Amino acid sequence: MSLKETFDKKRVAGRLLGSPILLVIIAMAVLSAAFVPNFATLYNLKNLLLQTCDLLIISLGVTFTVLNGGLDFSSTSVLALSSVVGAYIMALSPLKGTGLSILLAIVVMVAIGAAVGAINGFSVVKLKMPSFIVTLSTQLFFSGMAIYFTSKVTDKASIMGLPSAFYRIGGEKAFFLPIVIAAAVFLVSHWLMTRTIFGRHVLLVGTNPKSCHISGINVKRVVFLLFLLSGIYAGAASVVLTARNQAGISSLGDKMFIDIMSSIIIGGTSIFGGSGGAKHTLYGVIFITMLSNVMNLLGMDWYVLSLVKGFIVIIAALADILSNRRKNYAAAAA
Amino acid sequence: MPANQTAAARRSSGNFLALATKYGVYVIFLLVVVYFSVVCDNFLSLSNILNILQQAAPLGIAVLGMVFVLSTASTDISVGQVMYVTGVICGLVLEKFRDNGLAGNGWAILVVWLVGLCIGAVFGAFNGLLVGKFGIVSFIVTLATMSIARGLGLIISRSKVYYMSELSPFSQSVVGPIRFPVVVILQLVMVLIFAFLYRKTPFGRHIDAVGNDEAAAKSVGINTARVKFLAFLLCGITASIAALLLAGQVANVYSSFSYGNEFVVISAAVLGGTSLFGGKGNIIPGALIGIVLIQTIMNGLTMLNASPYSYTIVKGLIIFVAVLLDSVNYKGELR
Amino acid sequence: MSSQPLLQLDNIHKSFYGAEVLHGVNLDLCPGEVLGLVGENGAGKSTLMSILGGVYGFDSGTMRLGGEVYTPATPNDATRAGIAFIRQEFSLFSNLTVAENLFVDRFPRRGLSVDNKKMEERAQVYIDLFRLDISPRTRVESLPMGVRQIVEISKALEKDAKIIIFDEPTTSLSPKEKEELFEVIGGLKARGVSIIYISHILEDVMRLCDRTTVLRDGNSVGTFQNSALDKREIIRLMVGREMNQVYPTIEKEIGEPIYEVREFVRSGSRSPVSLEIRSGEIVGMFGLMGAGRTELLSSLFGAEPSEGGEILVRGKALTRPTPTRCIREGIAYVTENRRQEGLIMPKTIEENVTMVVLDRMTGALGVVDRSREKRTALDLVKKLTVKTSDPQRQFVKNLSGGNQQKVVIAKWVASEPKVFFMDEPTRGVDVGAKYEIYTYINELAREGCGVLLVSSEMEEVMGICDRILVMYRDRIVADIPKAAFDQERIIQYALEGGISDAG
Repeated sequence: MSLKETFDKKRVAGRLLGSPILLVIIAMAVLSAAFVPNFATLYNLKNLLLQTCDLLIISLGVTFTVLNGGLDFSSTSVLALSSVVGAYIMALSPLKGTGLSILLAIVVMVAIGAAVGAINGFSVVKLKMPSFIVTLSTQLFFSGMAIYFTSKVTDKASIMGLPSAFYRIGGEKAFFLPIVIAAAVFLVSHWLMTRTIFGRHVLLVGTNPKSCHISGINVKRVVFLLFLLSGIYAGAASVVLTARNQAGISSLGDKMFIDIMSSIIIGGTSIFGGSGGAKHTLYGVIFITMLSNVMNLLGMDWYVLSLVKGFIVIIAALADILSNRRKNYAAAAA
Repeated sequence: MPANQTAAARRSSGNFLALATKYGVYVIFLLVVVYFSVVCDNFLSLSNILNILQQAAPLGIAVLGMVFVLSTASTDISVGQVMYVTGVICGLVLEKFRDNGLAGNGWAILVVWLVGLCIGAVFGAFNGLLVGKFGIVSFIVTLATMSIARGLGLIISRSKVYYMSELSPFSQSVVGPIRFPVVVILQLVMVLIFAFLYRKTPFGRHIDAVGNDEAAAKSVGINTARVKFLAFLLCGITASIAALLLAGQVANVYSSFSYGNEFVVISAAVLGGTSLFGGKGNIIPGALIGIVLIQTIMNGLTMLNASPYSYTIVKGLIIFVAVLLDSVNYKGELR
Repeated sequence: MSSQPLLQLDNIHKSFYGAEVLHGVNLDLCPGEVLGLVGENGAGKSTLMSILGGVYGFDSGTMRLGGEVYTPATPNDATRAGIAFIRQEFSLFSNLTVAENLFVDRFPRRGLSVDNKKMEERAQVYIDLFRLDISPRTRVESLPMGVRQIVEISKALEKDAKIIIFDEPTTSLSPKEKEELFEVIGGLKARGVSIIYISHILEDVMRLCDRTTVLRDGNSVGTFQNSALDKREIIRLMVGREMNQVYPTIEKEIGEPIYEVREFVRSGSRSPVSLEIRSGEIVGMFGLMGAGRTELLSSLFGAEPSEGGEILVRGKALTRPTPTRCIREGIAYVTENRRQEGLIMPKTIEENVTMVVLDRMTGALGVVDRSREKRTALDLVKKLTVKTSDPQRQFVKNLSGGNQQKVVIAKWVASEPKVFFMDEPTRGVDVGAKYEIYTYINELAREGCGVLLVSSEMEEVMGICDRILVMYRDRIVADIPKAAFDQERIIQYALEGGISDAG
C-alpha cells in the first residue's frame, strides 16, 4: 500500500472497519481525553509518544520472527546487555566522555544485538532448535551477562555519568530525536516488509516454507536474517532507551517482553506466521502504550497491567484463531 | 519407503550422535561431580550431597508435571510465576491464621496446602483449556499466564515479604541416622506416582500417543483436548507443590520468589531425556537426574564462591545444551 | 467356501462434484475367501474401498454385510461392523510398544492402571500366532516394516475384524517379509477371515487369491476364478478401453537434447537412472504409484537429496542440484501436490505467480518493481486463461482446482524455462481445464521447451507424449517411442518391469 493510498480519504473508512484495533485506539483516545485526568496534557502526551517510540523499535524487530511463526524472547536481554556495555564505553572506558565514545558505543550496542541475533538465527537454521526455546536460553544467558558485566565494572546497580550529548537521543533538549528515530525505523521496516523482495519472501516463507524451497527461495537465509534483524532492532532500541534513562541498566527491558508480544499479537500479526507486518505492530504498540499510560494515570500499578496484558495476549490469540487464518492454513496443509 | 532408508543410513553414520544424546547427560554429570570434588573440599561430603538433594526436591516435583506437558509436544513457561502466585496467596492465608493465633495448628497448615494446590490447579486448568480446547500455541498461552500470575501475585502482595516459617518444619525435616531429608522422600513418592501415571495408565499412554502424532491420536478416538488439559492441570498442581515446599525451605516469599524457575524446570526435564518435540518422556531416572544435575552445578558454584550473577549465565547455557542435544534429530520446519 | 456372500456390493454409483467416478460397481466376497481387486490407477479401487470403510458415502446401489444392509457413516461404523484396513502407511504410534498399539484406543484396565498383563498376553497370542520373534514390550520404532504390518494386522484381529482389506501391502516389504505376509494371510483365511487384496503385482494376486475382481474406469469388468485366468488376460481386462478422449495436437519440431541425466541416484534408492529430453519433446513418465517417479523428479530438481550422477542442461553440467540452481538453468517443476508444495494457498494469485521470478523484478536495494510485477501477473493470468477478476486481490485458496493448477504452471512459465518437469499436472482438474492444460503443454513444446510429464493416467501419456518412459521400482525399464505405444505393453512394463511370457 503506497503512502498516497494510505491517506486516500475514500479508503480511510474502509480501513478503519478493516482494522478494529484502530477504532479501539481512537475510542480510547477520545474517552481518555474526556475522562482521564491529566491525559490530554502536553506533558503526558509527550511521555506517551516517547514510550511508544521505545516499544515500537523493539517490537518491530520481534515482529519479523513472529512472521515466521516463531518468536524472539532474547530481544529484552539485548536491551540490557547493550545498555550496560554501551554505558561502560561512554562512562567508564578510557575513551569516556569523548564524542568518539558515543559513536563507538552506538556501534557496539547495535553490534551486540546483531551478534545475539546471529546466534539465535544460527541455532534455529543450522542446529534446528525451536526459536522459542533457543531465545529463552539466550535471553537468560545474555541478561545474566548484563548483570555480571555490571557487577564487574561498577559496584552500583547501574552505570551513570554518560556524556550529556548522548541524552539527546533519548529526547532531552531534542524531544523530536527519538521520534524521528522511531519513525525512521518504522518506515524502513514497513518498506522492507512491503516493498522489498526480502519482505515478500518473509511472508511467503512464514506461510509455507516447503513451497518456497521448491520455488527457489533460500528459506534458511530468510529465517536467519529475521533473527539477525530482530537482534539489530533490539540493539537500536537499547540506544534510545539507555539515552532516555541516562544510564546503563542491567535490568533494562526486564518486564518488557509481555508488552512486545501483546503489541504484536493485538496488532494482528498472526502467531502462525505469514501474515501481519510493521503497520500492525505500530497499531498494537500504540494501543498497549496508551493502555499502560491510562491505567497509570488512573493510579494502577504496573503489575495490574501485567495481568491485563496477559489477558490481552490470550484474547488476541483467540481472535487470531477465530479469524479463519488458522483454518486457511490447515486447509493448505491438508 | 525412502524416508526410512535415509533414516537408516543416517542412523549408522550418526551412531556417535545417538550415543551422545542418550548418555551425554550422564557424562556431563560425572564430569561436573569430578570437577567440583577436586576443586571443593566438602563437595562430596554426605551432608553436602543430602543438601543438594534437599534443595533439588521441590523443583524436582515441578519437573514431573513438566515432563507430562512436554510429552504432549507442548511447553509451559508459566511454572515459575504460578509458583510465585501460589507462594503469595498461601503466605496471605498463613498471615491471616497467624493474626488469629492459629498458624501453628496442623489443620491451618492443611488449609494452606489445599489453597496452594487449588491455585496451581486453576492455573493449570486455564492453560490446559486454552491449549487443548482452543488450540492456541502453548508458549503463547503460558507466556500470557506467566504475566497474569506475576501481576496477580504482585497485586496481592504489593511486593511485601510473607513469612512462611510455619511451613518450614516439614520442608526442612530429616529422618534416620543419616538425617535424610523428608522432602526428598516426598519427591521420590511423587516420582513413583507420576511414573505410574505415565507408564501404566491409559492417560499416560495417551499422552505419548498425542505427543507422537496428534492427528493419528485424534483419528483413533483419543480425546486429545482432554489429554492436554490433564497434562497442564498436573503441571500446575506440581508447580504449586513445589512452591509450598520451596517456601518452607527458604521460610519466606518475597517478590523475586521462584523468578525464572520455569527455565530450571524445563531444562531439567529436557536434560533428563524428555523431548521438547513430544512423545518421549523420561521420569525414572530422567526427571531425577536432570534436576539433581542442575542443583549440583549451582551448589558447586556456590562452594566456589562464584559470582551470584553468573548463575543466570550458567542456567542459560544449560538449557541451550539440553535443547541442542534434543534437537539433533529434528527434521521439521525451522521456526 | 459357502455360497452365501459375506459382503455384497451391488451397482454402486458415486460422484464427486458432479463427475461420476463409479458407474455401478459390483463386488461380492465370500466367508474365508481371498478376493483380489485389480485395476489401473484411477480405476476406482480406492474410492470403492473408502466407501466400504465409511470415509465417503455413495449415491446409489446397495451394500450388504452378512445379509444386512450396510451403510457406514463413519470409519468407526466400519470398524464396528468388523471391517479393517491395512494400508501402506501404518497408523501405529512409533513410540508406543506393540501391546500398547494393539489397545491404544481402548486400553484394558485393572483398577487405575492399564492391564499390562492382559494386554501383553493378548499381544503374545498374536506374536505366537504369527511366529514373530519379538516381545510385546518392544517399541514399534525399532521394528522392521514387515513386523509393523503384522502388528497392524493383529490390531485388526483384536477388533474382531471379519473382513480385512489389504491395500498394496507389499510396497515397503522385503521379499522375505512378503513371503511371511503371505503365510499370515493364509493363516487368516484358515481362521475364516475374508480378505480383499488390492495390488498391482499380478503374480501375487494370482498366487494368493481365489477370485479376482477387475475394475476399469469406475466399472467392474467382472469377477473371475483365478484358476480360469492368466496374467495376460487380466492385463487385457484392465486396460482394454478405447481411446475416446480427444487430445489437442500441434505442429512442432523435436530438436537437440536439452536435458540429459546419466547414472543419477537419488538418496534412498540404489538404482541409477539415465534419461534425456530433447527440445520440443514431451516425454511421458508412466508407472504405478510408488514406482519412484515423484521422488526422482524431486531429487533431480534438488528438492530432495541425491547421491550422485551427471546432469547436463543444454550441454552444461549441473552438479549438486538445488531448486535455486535448477531455476537458474531454466528448469521448472510443477509438483504433484499443489496445495502443499505448488502454491501458497492463503496468498494472492499475483504473489504466487511471481514468487519464482521476484528476484528478476527487483531493482536497487531489493525493491520489487510493483508495476512490472502486476504486468507480469496479468500477462500470465491471461496467457493461461486463469479465471479471476483481480489477480492482486483474489486468494489462490478460493480458486477451482483447474485454475489453481493454471496458477502453478503460470508461476513457472514466468521463469521462461527450457525444461519443464510436470508431476500429475491434470490431477483433480475438470475436463475443460484439462484440455486447456494439454494445449498449453503443446504450446510450450512448440516453443522449444522439453517437457517431462509424470502421469498415472495411461490415456494422458499416450495422448500427448512423444515418448513414454516406464518406471518400475526406481528404474526406467522401458523407453517407448510414439509409434510403438501400446496399452498392454506399457502396463506390463509398469506392473512387472519387463516383458515376460510367464503367466
